Amino acid sequence: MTRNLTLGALVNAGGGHVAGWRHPEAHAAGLMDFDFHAELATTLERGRFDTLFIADAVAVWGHQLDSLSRTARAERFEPLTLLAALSTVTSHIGLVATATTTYNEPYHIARKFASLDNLSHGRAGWNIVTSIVPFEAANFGRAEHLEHSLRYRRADEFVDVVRRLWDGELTHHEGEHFTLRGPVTISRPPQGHPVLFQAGSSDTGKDFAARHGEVLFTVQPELAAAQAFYTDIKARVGKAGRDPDTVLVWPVLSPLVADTETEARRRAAELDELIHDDVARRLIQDAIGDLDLSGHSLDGPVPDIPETNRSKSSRDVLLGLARKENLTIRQLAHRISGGSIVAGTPEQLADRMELWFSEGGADGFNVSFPYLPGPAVDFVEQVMPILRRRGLVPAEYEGSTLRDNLGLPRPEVVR
Amino acid sequence: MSREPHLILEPLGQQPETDTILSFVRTAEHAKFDAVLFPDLAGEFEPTTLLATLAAATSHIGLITTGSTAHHEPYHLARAIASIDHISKGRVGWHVATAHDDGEALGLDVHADPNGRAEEFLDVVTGLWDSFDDDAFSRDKQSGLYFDPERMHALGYNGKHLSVAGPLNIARPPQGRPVIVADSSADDLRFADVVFSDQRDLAEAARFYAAIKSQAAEFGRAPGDITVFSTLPVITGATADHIESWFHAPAADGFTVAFPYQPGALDDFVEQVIPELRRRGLFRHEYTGTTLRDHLGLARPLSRYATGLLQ
Repeated sequence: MTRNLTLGALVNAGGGHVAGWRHPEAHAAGLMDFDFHAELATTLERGRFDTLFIADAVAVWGHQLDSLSRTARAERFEPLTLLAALSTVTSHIGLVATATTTYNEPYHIARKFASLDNLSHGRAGWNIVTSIVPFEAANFGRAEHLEHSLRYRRADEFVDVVRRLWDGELTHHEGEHFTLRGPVTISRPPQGHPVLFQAGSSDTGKDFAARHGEVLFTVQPELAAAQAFYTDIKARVGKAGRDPDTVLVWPVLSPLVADTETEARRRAAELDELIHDDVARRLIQDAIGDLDLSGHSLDGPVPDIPETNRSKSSRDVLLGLARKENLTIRQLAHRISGGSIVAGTPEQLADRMELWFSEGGADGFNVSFPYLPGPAVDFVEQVMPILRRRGLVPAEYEGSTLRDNLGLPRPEVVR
Repeated sequence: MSREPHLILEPLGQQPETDTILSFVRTAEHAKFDAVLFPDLAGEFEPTTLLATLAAATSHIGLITTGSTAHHEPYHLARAIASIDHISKGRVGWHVATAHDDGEALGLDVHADPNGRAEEFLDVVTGLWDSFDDDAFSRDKQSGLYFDPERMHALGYNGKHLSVAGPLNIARPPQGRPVIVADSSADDLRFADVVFSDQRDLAEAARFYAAIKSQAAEFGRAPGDITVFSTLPVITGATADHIESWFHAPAADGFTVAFPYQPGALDDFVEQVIPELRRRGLFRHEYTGTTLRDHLGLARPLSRYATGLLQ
């Protein structure tokens, strides 16, 4: 059976680029506009994306209001309600919601995703995150933030309980973090289990992903690193007793296409110019750690940064990048802002995707549009036809569930 | 005081698959019911997820979810309900339940003082909905200002049972505050927009009605801010008379009625009772407003921060 290139579309109405909402063609009020989301979803389904993907945070991210107030990150629909609503205007595209294991209970998550799977006739997916933002703890009556390894142990037990609830098997559970006296009844998901997505990059995170994830996100700006990640994670999947072919690796791709490469690069630079200085500084701080950058010129080097309880992995990747390429703070911020926009012609985008797909760098991509709706429409109308012509993606949806379309097997019942 | 009685529909019996549920709600919308009120029952769809689907598939009817203060985190419930209010353009309500008996079975916390928690829960949810002023989000490309920090408020709630920092990461709901529905036993009338009356006897119901309306003042509210609903007894040829006499007593501002989901179950009521009510000037022919508050004749509350009493 031919291996298809699988594709997710990251739906963030403000755009993946931090200043995307300010783009002249962007719909600045898109974040809370359901009709806008509905139209976007139907466009992406027309383009035969395998899934819509919604990221999340259970807090207003940040106390630095000067910068926060200049981004489109302070408001959003709650993901499951948004996707449940979008299930009525779509029929094939997958609906993947992010939900944290740290500030939720297994019963609620199992039930919500089973409901979404039923309401959408088998299209639900759960992006499992273990929260890394301290502001979130404060919304749930917890002063302290779960330490890095503890939150993965909680997540392990959490996912185990959720899967057993989906299987209808759970009469009683007593564990380190959760006790369910049972019996608990929830509606059975048509897919057996909604598809599980995960994005771990630390050692603990990668092992967790290898145990549970069926589609694994990663941020990899370069092919060599992507290949190394791919090889490593597939090996971990094997060590966890699972068939590596039943796990898909999706690097994030942030495309901006135009008729010429020059024009595409110009469009990318245009977005970077819209980033306010305060926002640039905050980007670095959010990604690496809460250091005081106010004394440093944005056009000077990135200072050294101590470890924090924040995401260890992004800190290492970004510092490494800054040192390797001698980036200023502003330049590093521009890199983070759009998640490394890949600017080029539709053919160049297709070439890059095909190369990564055939050279062990990716099984597919999670596509993040720098702003919306333009780049999404461009991708659907200009890049997708090329991928279809090359036989990389099918012309139509061939399966009836998300699982089928991704070529993933039905999970065995967890005992 | 409403000009006409209101009608809320409740589904009865086992929940069927999605298309049948949708058909049930659409029939109610076609008949101009104020709202459909969904319970939260084990084995059924999680109600906020279901309601979001129904919100996208309807345009006028109100949709009320039941959510227990014992079983949820207020931040999550506030978020889901606010999200549905945005998706539905102002048609969501929250039926507040305080049920707590089966928490242990579900792996949820058991609370020693569920009523104390419920009271704080309402404080928190309504406070979170006011996190952003109505005009907080300018989303101004030119200036680059997406929202005005002065118009964002962190709740900073620290109670005996709940500690929630806020803000909620969502713009103020279209209704300002989604409609809050309380059971008859509720003695917390600070926020209830709809109160259920359990009385079967007209005289007792009229006394209950008068008591609720006068208690409203103790909570700084006008009598018209709280609508009293009574459950209709078995539907007969005299149902229109029942509604008329109770409405005019006054013993109720509105009525709830329960029918199974199956197609046809609503037919007699929709084809006979409702037209009779309309003939008597006792029910709307068309929706005149767009939000659930509009349908119920309720004002849109100001943000607690708009009064200038709180910073």
